[in-house]
Amino acid sequence: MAVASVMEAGDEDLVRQIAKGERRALETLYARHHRRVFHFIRRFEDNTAMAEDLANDVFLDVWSLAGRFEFRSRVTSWLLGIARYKALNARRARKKTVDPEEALGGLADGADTPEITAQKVSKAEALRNCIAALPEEHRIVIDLVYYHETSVRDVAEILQVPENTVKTRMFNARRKLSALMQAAGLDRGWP
Amino acid sequence: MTRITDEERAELSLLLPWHAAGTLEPAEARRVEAALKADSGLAAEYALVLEDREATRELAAAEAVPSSMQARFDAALSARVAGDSRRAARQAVMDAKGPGIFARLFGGLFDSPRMAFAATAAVLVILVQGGAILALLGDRAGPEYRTASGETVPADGLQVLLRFAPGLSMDDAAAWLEERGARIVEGPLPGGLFRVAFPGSAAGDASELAERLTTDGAAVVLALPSG
Repeated sequence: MAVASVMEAGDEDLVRQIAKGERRALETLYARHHRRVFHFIRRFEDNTAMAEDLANDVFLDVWSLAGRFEFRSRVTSWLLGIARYKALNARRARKKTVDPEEALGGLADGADTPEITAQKVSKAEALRNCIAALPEEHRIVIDLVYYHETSVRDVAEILQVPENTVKTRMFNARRKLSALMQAAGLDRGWP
Repeated sequence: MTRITDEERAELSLLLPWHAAGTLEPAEARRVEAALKADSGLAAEYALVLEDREATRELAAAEAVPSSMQARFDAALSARVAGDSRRAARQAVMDAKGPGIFARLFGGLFDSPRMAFAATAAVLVILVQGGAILALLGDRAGPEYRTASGETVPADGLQVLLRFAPGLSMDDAAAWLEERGARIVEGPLPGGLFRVAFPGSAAGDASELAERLTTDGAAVVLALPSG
């Protein structure tokens, strides 16, 4: 496949080319999606270097598994599904040991209370802070819907939960976000 | 303007984030659009959803991807491609030599190499168990040889209990064993372990061998001395 046609190919065509051993197709898929895969893994993984390795591993898996992709979901959903699997596996493996820095990370650091923080920052910044402070489960679904623009069905496939669970989890995430904003002194009037 | 019921409102409220992201089916998107015009409360809720979406995207945009990521991926991919080429070349040599004894035995029975590999492992287990029974029935222990230093090594070589890395393919596991002249004599055992013999191993300690194996690449996550 010529360079130009690889660059213009859709994700599914790229996967077909990768299955035939076309390295350039994988490099194109990587250039297109490595950023989103890295960001998704960061929702599970605090360590940036580890997230980087896991994200790269996702694409190395694609090199091996492309021939088995059945094209029943979007390629991006497939990538994020592999990413979630890898991130959870890495976490399970690491649970056997305790990282002192991580263990100490949960201790109070004398930071400002949400109310004081809210007084110091703009509303937009407060909202970003509150999104970042959401529990992992809620932050992940918010990212999948708003940043990765993933449909209800695709979120369900990536997270391996029913579609109704996806909808209620997203609703609860929004409600939790409003509660955090209220705790920060910014009542949004909902719910 | 048509009013919406509380039940409809609750149902459509759940869909607002996907409406904002543009990922609803057209029919659902039309329902939400109509409801937003009819219900000011739902419209206010949608305004918050749009704010949330904007903030989420800003957060992601601010999160930099490590500069080393692309270079590390290129290096890892090159290594993977080279490994694949080596395996293909090795397979070509094996094909040129003709099928091995187990391939000849099982080639007609199994379509996939994985099944043939599993059958081979099962036969090995049976043979080993048969050998153990014969040894018990006989009046002497199993075959072994004594080294110049007087150390005893089973004829089968040292044995180690291994757990392969999660996700390691059967092909990669077979290649790993082949490279080390090792073979599975029992497994899978509880805990996903395999008992693996290293017939070519010189006299030495199985503990040392197990320790070496755990640091020998990423294929093995656990190695314990056996027997």
